Amino acid sequence: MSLVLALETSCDDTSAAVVRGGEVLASLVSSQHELHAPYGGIVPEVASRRHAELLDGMVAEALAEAATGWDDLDAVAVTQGPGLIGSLLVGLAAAKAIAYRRRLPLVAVNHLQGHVAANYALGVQAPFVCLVASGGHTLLAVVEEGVRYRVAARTMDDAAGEAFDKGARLLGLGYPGGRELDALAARGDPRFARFPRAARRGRDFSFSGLKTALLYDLRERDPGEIEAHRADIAASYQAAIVAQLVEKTVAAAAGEGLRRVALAGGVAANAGLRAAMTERCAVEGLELTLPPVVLCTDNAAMVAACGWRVLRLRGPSPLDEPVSPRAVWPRHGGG
Amino acid sequence: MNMLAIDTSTNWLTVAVGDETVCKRSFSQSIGNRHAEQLAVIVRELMTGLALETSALDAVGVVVGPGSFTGLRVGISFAQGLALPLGVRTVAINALDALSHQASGLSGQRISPLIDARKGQVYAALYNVGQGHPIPASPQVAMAPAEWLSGLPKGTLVIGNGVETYREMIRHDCRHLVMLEENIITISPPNLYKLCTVAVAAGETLDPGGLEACYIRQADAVCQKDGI
Repeated sequence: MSLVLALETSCDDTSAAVVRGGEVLASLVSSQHELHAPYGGIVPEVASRRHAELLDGMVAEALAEAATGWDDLDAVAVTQGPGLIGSLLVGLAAAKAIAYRRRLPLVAVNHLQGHVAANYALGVQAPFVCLVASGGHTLLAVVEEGVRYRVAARTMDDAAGEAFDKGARLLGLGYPGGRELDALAARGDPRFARFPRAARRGRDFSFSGLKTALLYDLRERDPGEIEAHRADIAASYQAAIVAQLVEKTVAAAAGEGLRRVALAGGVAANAGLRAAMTERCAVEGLELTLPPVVLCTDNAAMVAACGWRVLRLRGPSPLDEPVSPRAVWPRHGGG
Repeated sequence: MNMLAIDTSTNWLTVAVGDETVCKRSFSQSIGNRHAEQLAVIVRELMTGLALETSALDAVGVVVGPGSFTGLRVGISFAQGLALPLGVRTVAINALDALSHQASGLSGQRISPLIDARKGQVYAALYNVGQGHPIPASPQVAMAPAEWLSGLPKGTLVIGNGVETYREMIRHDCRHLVMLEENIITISPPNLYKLCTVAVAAGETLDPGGLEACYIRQADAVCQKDGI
């Protein structure tokens, strides 16, 4: 079975993993949330510095945890983008050096396709519809086979994670906002306030109107009412985001004639989304794969899972491969 | 002993490969910000040209700053990625020290390398030359060039890419300083390589994890938050 070392440094989590076939032998993630919390958001230069401080130690630790030697490896996979350019460069430079030194194939991986591939570690079989939702991206991928994907829908404005984070900021919550909002919403009444459930018709997502609706809603309430009902407002706002994600995903599965649905990306860690998607898929008779939270947020195990498939499909990446911080996933175009 | 030395601290990419005494092959060119793309390819070319396997490397040297934040990280991450699987030692080279060494055989008793730090600043330090060797005579700083240069002793030789950026200002406002007709813009491969060999001979080597960037300046957001 193939043994892949993977590095993921696209944003604010430093991660190294060793994966054999579908088995995750080691997956280390060092979160930088506390480092960025004082700034209320991710500071790219701070993130890059921390990646550079941690990555080599995490690679050594991942190999040790996997009880693997350098000689056992078959490939080195690394996130190419999208992400923060300075952060991506740390991972790519290290991965190239390791690949060159060990004469291993280097595989540059699209971060979003990596998120989808996290589901392979759980044994999900293609074809399936995968909702990829994070702080920077929201799309529905139709996974036809391996890493051959087609994008069936994407957001026209904000990403779902962005809507969570901006909503959290409006509600005066701490950082990371999405997680705080999810925790608060669990204690609230989702029927307290009405927010638009699907801002636009059609298959694509839209969240910017929802954020504006929250802003107006809060303006119309006095501070005492907001204080008393913060959890209710959070629950109502979250329910509106979740409803859109669930409805469009289920509609895409129906439209594509597929019975399997999977989640991927940091927003897939949202407890409200997981509960609502589970309930709705059960009603619709859809088979749902919910990756554990550690495989939803950024991690290198997903990069390894994707990398091996990309390597088999397209071959290795050249040593002069650049980072691709603004990489997109074309609506029509396979892996 | 075989060694590889890397400098990605400015818009130049410099790579040198050699044995225990001398640099045998090198590359040094202005490449903008394409270090991450070019570095591995250039290293492979130089190593192949010498018929050297990476397993034959005994040490990896890298310039750790001050300089371009991103460039430093590319160089250090690459050096660590090479050294970690090799199980070899690394050498950290300071950019201002290296530039001062390059000029220490030239005229003058005092040298101040200036590295363009962008944002209207230079990374700088002052060195006294004694018996052909530069001896640090100040801390390494990041500050506005006018402020730094006005405090330098008369006759100090200024070098580095900061001289290119602020040449007109130095010519008009800093007549107490000396510039070379042919300025030293970047760390040369032989100089870089020699400094690495000296460090190895002196046992001044590090585990790969011991390589740390010498940023001098904090990230902008940190400066703003802390009121720096």
